[in-house]
Amino acid sequence: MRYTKEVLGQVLIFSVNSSVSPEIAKEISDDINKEILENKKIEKVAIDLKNQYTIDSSVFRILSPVGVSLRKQSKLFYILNPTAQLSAFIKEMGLASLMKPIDSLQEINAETKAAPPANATVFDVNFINPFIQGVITTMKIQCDLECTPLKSTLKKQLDPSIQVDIAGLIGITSKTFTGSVSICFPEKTFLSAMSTMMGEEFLEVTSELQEGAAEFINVIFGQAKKVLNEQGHTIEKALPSVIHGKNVDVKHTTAKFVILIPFASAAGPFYLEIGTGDKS
Amino acid sequence: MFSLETRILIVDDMSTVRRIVSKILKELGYNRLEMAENGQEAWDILNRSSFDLVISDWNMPVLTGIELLKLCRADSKYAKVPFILLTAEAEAVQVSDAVKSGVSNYVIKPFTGDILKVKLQQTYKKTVESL
Repeated sequence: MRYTKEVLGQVLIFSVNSSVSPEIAKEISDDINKEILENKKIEKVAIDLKNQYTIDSSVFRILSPVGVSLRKQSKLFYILNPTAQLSAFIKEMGLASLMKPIDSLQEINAETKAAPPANATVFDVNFINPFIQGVITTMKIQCDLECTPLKSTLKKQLDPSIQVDIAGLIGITSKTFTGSVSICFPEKTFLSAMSTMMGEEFLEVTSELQEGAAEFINVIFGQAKKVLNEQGHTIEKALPSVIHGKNVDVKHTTAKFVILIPFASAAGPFYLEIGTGDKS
Repeated sequence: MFSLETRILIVDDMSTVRRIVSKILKELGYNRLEMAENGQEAWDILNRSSFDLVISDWNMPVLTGIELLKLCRADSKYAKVPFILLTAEAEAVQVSDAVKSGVSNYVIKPFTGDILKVKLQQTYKKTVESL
């Protein structure tokens, strides 16, 4: 027998007696679907590798959809007792949130399902912080620019103290939040950041360079989206756009409120704006 | 590591990203580079000539990176050609889609030249091992 299965409490465990080949993975995958249908008490599924067997990298093409399907049913999927090498591979490939490597059944039993998120509001720091962190990480990695978020405020229309000449804007759509987010730069800050990123000095914002603002917001959005969707939000993919002109006012057309987060950096000031059309 | 004669197709709708990737590759010694603005243009170029490696953005208009990957994997000429996805989308579901579709490796944005170099080394190793 290539594997045995048993249900312990809410956990369905498959104990393999060899490394997991595509054939075994397919059998386990079919078995999981069957057991889940028949036993409504099952909340967690684990494949026990007993610290000795492994999973061929090609097998993840079979197991990943199982993880996705279980997650859609709010059930958890584990790779129990993996080798250190396999555990590292799963984490490196970004698959740990679909099939978490774990070292004991006790740890599985101790894990509780994350509560679904409450509707986000414009002042929910848990919603805003991933965007702020996204800005800090993106500017550091892409432009070698350390930046510091300053005190957030509600955006006032036509604030003379704030100059924006170019901005990248992207819409946010999810079950819990509708709005938009933009990264807004004075021309001088933008040119300095782009010059560092591209490794050559720019003196004016050409049409090609404008795309950099879209790319910044795209990357910031991607990072925040990952964190927020892991918390249970369901933010959808979106394509960014660019607003360019002398001292432009970025319109968050669906937003009732716009929160403005200024950043200080060696290249000059810039701003993150998050607009929400949240009904609350 | 891939030979310096490797023919590489870079696909991204953002010209700034194409330039950054191209600059990094040139610094590593790769000069046989071509660019495409979206998956459809890339597919046309791939059909007109031959490439040994594709580095493509994921989220693009017209034809996305994952759609381009699927076209490549379904075509005998490019079924086994290393294909690296560049993505700002690092979610497990997306990664799962990419793995299922036969991606060789992926680079999460933002990235540095060092990160891209490591990913190229990993991809080369995987490619050699799979031969």
